[in-house]
Amino acid sequence: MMKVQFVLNGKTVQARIAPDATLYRTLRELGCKSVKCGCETSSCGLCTAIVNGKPVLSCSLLTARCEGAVVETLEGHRAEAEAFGAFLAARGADQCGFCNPGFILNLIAMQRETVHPTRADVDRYLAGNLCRCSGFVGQTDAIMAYLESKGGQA
Amino acid sequence: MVGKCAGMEKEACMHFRQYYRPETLDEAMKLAARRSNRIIGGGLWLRQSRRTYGGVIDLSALGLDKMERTDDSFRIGAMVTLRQAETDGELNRMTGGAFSYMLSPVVGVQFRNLATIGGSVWGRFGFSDVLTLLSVLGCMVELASGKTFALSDFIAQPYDRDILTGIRIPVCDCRVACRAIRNSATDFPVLSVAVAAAPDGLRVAVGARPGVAMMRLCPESTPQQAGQWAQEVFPVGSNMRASAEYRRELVRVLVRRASEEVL
Repeated sequence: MMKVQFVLNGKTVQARIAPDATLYRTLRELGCKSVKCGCETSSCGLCTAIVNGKPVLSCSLLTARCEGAVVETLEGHRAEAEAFGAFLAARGADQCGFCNPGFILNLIAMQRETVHPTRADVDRYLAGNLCRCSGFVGQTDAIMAYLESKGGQA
Repeated sequence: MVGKCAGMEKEACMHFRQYYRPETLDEAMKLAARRSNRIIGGGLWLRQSRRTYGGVIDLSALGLDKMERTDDSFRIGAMVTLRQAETDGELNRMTGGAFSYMLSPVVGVQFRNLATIGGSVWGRFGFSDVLTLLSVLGCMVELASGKTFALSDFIAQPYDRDILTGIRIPVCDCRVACRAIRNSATDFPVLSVAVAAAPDGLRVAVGARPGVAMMRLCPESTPQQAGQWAQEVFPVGSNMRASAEYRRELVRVLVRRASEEVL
């Protein structure tokens, strides 16, 4: 076992971890249940967390590598999550909602990188967030409406 | 806030008993010499492996995550991520946007923020878009032992205990174009092609054959002829993504289309 310390959603946290623990597992142990694991191939985006400002797959990142890092999960972005969730619901854009946390976190990361993103920008940036009960059209519609409501900015 | 013992319950992924994060290459080389240790780059395949190792060596504290331009070359550190290479203005200006074109369809942004150039090259993966592109750029592979290899020679080498520290791309006045076909967005490519009109001729590389990328100098002078030539020269096979027959047709068409951009 080893100790690791990082900033999680604005608070400094310490955890005792196995050397091979992934960030996904550690975040869930620390109470961040929005972070989920959906695939075994590092491809679905359900486990998205923002580490040092960049969206990453927490299922494929060793917690030990996060020593001193700044980590964000959906628990640190409740206001955005609620606002965006309302846009999804208004368009009937999803069914089970399992993929939403990953979508929202990646959307937040995209807004930080891209000024006034177009629909094509959204399609490209969120290509690594898979949803298995919708066809992405409703979600993209909801994202564009959400961005418009915010003037295109985070 | 102090968390509970994360990871007490075993995850379905690669396991190891020790985590090393060396701060010097010497230290990393000593650790890598132990057969029970394994080097990780981006760590993207942790979940596909069920093996157990004595330890893993994390190269992230060695300063290998930088790109440097000199008068005659562009050096990409082994820990530079695919996303860094995809979005780097200078690297893309030098290659006509080839890095952005080739890397942006690789899975998703979250994946590309972890996957490293060094991991892609060291792995010699058949599906690697990175290797296909680098194959036409005349790259040299630099290792911690001080050895350097032309990329094609490195690909043919067996795996050893050395550490890949970076890739050096010579600055040259060549035009580069790429093409790739996928069955669906974010999937591995069915076939990837890169061509470069360079001083030594038209370099053509074909990857995801499904074998590892191969590069050959094309003796032909028109895109049509280059496509026909490539179809005869590059061996292709079948896998779950496509048949050899389909790939053979793709080689001809994609090499022709890419050549049209640079000839």
